[in-house]
Amino acid sequence: MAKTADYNLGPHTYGRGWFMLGSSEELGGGAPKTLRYFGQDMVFYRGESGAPHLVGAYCPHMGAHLGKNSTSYIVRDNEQVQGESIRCPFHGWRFGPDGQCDHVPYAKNGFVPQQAKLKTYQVVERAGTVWMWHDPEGLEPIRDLPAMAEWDQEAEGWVRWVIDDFGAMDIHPIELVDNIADYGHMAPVHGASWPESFENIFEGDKVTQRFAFGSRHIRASDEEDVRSLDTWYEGPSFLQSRKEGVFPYYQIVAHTPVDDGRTRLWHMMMVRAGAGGRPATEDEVAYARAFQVTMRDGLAQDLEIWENKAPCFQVLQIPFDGPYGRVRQWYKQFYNPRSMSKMLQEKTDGHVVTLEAPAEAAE
Amino acid sequence: MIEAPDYNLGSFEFPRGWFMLGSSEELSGPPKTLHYFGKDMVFYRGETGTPHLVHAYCPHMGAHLGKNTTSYIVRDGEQVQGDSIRCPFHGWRFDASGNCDHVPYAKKGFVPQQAKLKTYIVVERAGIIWTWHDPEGLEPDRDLPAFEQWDQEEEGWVRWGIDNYDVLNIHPVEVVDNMADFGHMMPIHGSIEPAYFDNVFDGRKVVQRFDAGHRTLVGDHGAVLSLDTWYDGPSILQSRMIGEYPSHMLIAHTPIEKGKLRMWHALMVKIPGGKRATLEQAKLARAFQDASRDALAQDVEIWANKEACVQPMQIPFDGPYSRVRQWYKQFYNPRAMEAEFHKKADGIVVTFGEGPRADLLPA
Repeated sequence: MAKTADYNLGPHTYGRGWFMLGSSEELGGGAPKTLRYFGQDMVFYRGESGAPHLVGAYCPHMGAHLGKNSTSYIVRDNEQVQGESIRCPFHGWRFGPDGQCDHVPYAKNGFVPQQAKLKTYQVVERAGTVWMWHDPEGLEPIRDLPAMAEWDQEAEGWVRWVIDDFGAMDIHPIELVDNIADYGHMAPVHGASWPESFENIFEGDKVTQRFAFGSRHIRASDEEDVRSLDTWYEGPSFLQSRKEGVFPYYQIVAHTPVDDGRTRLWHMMMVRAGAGGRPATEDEVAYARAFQVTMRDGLAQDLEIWENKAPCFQVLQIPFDGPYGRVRQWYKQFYNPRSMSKMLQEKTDGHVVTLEAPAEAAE
Repeated sequence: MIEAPDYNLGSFEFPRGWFMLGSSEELSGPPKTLHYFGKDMVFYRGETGTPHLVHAYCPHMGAHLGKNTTSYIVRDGEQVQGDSIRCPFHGWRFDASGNCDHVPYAKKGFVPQQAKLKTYIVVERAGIIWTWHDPEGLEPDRDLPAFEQWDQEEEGWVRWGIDNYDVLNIHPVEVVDNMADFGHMMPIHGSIEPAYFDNVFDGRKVVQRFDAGHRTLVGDHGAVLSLDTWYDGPSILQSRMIGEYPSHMLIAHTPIEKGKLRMWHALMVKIPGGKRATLEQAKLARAFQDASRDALAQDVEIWANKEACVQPMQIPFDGPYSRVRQWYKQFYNPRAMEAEFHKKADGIVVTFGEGPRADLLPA
């Protein structure tokens, strides 16, 4: 597996930002779940209120795994989660949502060891997905997770997404992010014929791709022969795409490093299929689903490339390619201390036109 | 377990003592390949059934003595003759002491004096094959436990079967820690209302004495189960339970590589009445063994999933983990230092209840 150090991205092995952990469905109630991201074993559980919590997998007492147990009486008696706290199955030590030990069953006079603390991670649940903030410097989030407000706009015709889980593959996330500059793969991989224009806008921790084209197989309506698409990263790990038109949609492609050089990927898309600002009918929901499947299949074509390619440490960039080098330079800010962000952003901020729009279309 | 860290136990990688190699049943038939203590070995039985354990590779040219099915030596059933074993490559034969005693293509009975196979001490007892491992290459200075119940079938003892837990990625010290582990008795083994827990450190032996109720094993509320459990050396745990159905349990583990071991469980039960057990009674004894095996499986689930614990976070209500680890160091250091290590650990530590209890220790 090609690792962060091989790509010379910076001192941190994993980027700083919000990262998806899974769907709310997969990370539902019931037994605590074992997760592995950022090269660390973690345990996800929900308190009795349903609130999500994410903690280090191993108990500070003797290193037992909090999630991988089915035979301890703590687990069998359903005593592992109490309130918002979780108990270790080995000796029953209980830890609050802040990670602090708050009960040892065999200790007398309510003794709890002050130094017994479980590592905790910041978790947010939104729009049927669960996310965590990862920061190599251990600092608080620098920006909010997107609102994904369409999730709560079913009354206005939005159809909620389902989560397409592509699982983990042996590729460094940078090769996924390269895609934002990838003009040349649009026709062969995605069937985007008749390109009109392609440009990238770098603004701080955000990079946008603007692409106008005619498509071989996606045509929202006969009037929309040429589609114009805005796609952007806010931070290192999830791509958003939004399109207005007859059937507006909002799409996210999220990825999270599992280990250095191994990445898990998801896709999801909400569509406003209910015409005229009313809830979608059954047929319209079916249409939205079919639309998501088409978009998922488009991403699957990238996936086939990613799963099978050799690592690319230095792109053989030709004048007609998009700005891969600038994207990789932009991406470095997440692998370096926060104090360097401004300096790194100043290096990339700006506008790169890969394909100039025809004069009449540019107006 | 992620990786094997340094537990700082002493100068040897593997300890000195008697170790289980496998069941008599498993170690029968043609020569078998074994891997313990980081070494490849071959186990074979002479024509009379006597067990032998030798280095796996022939001193002539390094061929493996055990991994062959196609040599005519093997096909013709000539690999074992008397108590000697032949190499499948050139047919050199080595006697029970490891000396080459025949080379098929040499004239005038020539045998190379320097051709010697390393041999290891092997004992077969109670349906189990054992070896003596000594990093200094010295002879055993202590006996393998007698397991005399094996030969007391006429008095009602039912022989054990061997439960093979196979390979666990854990350092043996974390298995031996269990001797001091008062706090896991309730969550892992279903003990209730503990009355007494102590450890007696006595030279090469460490004993655990534990009295408590149990949620399933004793019928009447308030009945107390009294268990004496001890290690004789670094790897053989025995436990005896007195009562209507006295039992004698064995848990043995043997290092394979650093941070990797194999583990077995066995239990003999004495049927009341002092006569040879009937078939029905033998089935009951087997059911006792299964229950005991399942209790150990709960420890195994912890061991199989935990991270390494180089330093337990010991609280005042825990048993003496660090003293057990201090006691265990004697096996990882030269024999000449033994007395010094005994002096450091010898004594009684009461973790729970009024003590120390004065009754007799297991012989």
